[in-house]
Amino acid sequence: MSISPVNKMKWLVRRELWEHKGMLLWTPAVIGIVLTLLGTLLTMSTIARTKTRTALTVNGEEVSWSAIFNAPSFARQKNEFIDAVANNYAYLAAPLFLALGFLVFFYCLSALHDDRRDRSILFWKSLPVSDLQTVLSKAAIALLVAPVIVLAAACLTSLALLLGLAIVMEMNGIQVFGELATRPGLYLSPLRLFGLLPVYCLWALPTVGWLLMVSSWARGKVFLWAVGVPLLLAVLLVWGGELAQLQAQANWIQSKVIARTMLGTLPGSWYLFEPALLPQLHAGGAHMAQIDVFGNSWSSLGLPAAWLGAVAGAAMIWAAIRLRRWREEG
Amino acid sequence: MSEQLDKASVISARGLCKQYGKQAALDNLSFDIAPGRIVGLIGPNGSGKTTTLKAILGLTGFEGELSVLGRDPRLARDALMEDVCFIADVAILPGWLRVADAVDFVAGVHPRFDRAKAERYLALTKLSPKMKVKAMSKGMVVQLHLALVMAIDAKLLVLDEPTLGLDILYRKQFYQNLLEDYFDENKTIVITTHQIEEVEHILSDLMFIRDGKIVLAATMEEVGERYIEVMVGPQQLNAARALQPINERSVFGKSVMLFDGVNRAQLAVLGELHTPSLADLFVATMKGAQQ
Repeated sequence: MSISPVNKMKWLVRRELWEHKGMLLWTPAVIGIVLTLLGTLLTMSTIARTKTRTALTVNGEEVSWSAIFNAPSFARQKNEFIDAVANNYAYLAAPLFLALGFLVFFYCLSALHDDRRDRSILFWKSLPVSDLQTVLSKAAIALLVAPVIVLAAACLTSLALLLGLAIVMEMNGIQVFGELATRPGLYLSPLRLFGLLPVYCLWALPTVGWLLMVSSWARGKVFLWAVGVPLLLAVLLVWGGELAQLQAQANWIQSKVIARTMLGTLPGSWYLFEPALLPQLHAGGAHMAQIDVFGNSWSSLGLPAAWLGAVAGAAMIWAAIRLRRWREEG
Repeated sequence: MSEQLDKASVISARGLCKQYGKQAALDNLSFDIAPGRIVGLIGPNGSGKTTTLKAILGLTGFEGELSVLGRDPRLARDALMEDVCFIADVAILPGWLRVADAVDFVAGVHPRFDRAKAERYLALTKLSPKMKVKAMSKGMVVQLHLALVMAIDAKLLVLDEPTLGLDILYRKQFYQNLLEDYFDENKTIVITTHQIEEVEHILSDLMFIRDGKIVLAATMEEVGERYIEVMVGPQQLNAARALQPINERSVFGKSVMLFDGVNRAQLAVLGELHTPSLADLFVATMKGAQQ
């Protein structure tokens, strides 16, 4: 006669997906499809334009791009090119990652407020589901379900874009399919992407916690409270920092505290808060593509800041649960 | 004054107090509700009845002692909700919810939910499984909500204005279902409503609340014995007034007086006797408390 918490959680997550189907499923799907179409069109038009020009003129003879690409003497460069593509094509879906940041942000903002505004909270509270379970199901959507959906969309999109690129190249006589298929990077890239999920969760936790807390607390104007308070604080800090000659401390609070309440849901936000993670960039010469983003991101978990933020985020989620338990409606 | 909580009661309250600013919503409220009763909690707006219900349901904090099904709703709300169900405000289901999803969800999280029963109730309405709440009329939302709640085999059901917005045919049907199909001696129902005349024949107990205090708590039999309405002829007026009626009104030139605890035989001499309607009793009691 009793239902396990795991089962209840399953239904709570399903409930969120019903409510936010448009936001959580359709937005990533539409962005993915638009990206694929745009990317393929762009590739086709680029190739079409280059084709009208010849690559080289050797001894008065015109040599085409495909001839160069398929020439044995070009094998090394071609190899490097294919490697770079196989290892990094997943980032072609970057706009989706940006969208994830906004998606999770606005999801959290409304998560514990919408049902208080339309008073349907009284219906949910009439069922044997605790506030702990409800709030945790919403945190799980923000930290796990939404990122997994967007990551899946990103993998599909980047694969489709890669496929489009390869097909267009093949149609122009440049053989890449066979070689591409043998690169481990082709298969590892999606895995690495999913492998970054725990890093994302930890760095997103402070923002998710802050937004859920405000969403659970505010009677109205959630966005204003969630964004206005940190911004106001930031302005006061600049002003106070100037007055007290403590600009360095003020800057530190801005980037390590205030920024983390608002920007944590953006994938890769850890590079924003901890620029020191990217020493290679400043050394010059290196490209983003050559940095091992996967290993480098995981190394960010060695920083105490990552864990302190996560603890603060968890504490704010706990506060959201308490607020939901005792906030009186109507 | 801190009497012991009654362990045999479904709900036992002792000295409940709650302030909203300077206004006392609950003013040292004490009452007991026994199992197997249908209790009408009736009071004017702002009398504290919603606050009382919220306290019972663990939706608000308060001072004093309260036990619902043996548990303190402040501390054990999650466990309590397995056995208690409520409609706090009808027509408040979220707009995105589909009928089929609502049934699935409640079936998924509520161990006492009977899906077949809910579907039987829904079959009597015009609701279709794919329909979303935002496409429904207010009455339809209430129908969905009631179908869900009536299919939950709760020990305590709390209904706050359950039929608001329903047309009269469905309201009658609802109370009939509630009595015949839902209620049994193991269940307890607490109802608040403004439409007293609609519930008066199904209630077993009555509680009038005013300014955060219980002004009358009695079974319907006790009410029938204690309160008598008399159609007093003009020549008996002074004799009748001497017995101190709690209310007097005139109907077609005749005076109708309401007496509290006056001997039946004594009143029979004065004119025709009636059992007062709850609405009249309510008006009289509220007037009396005002003085």
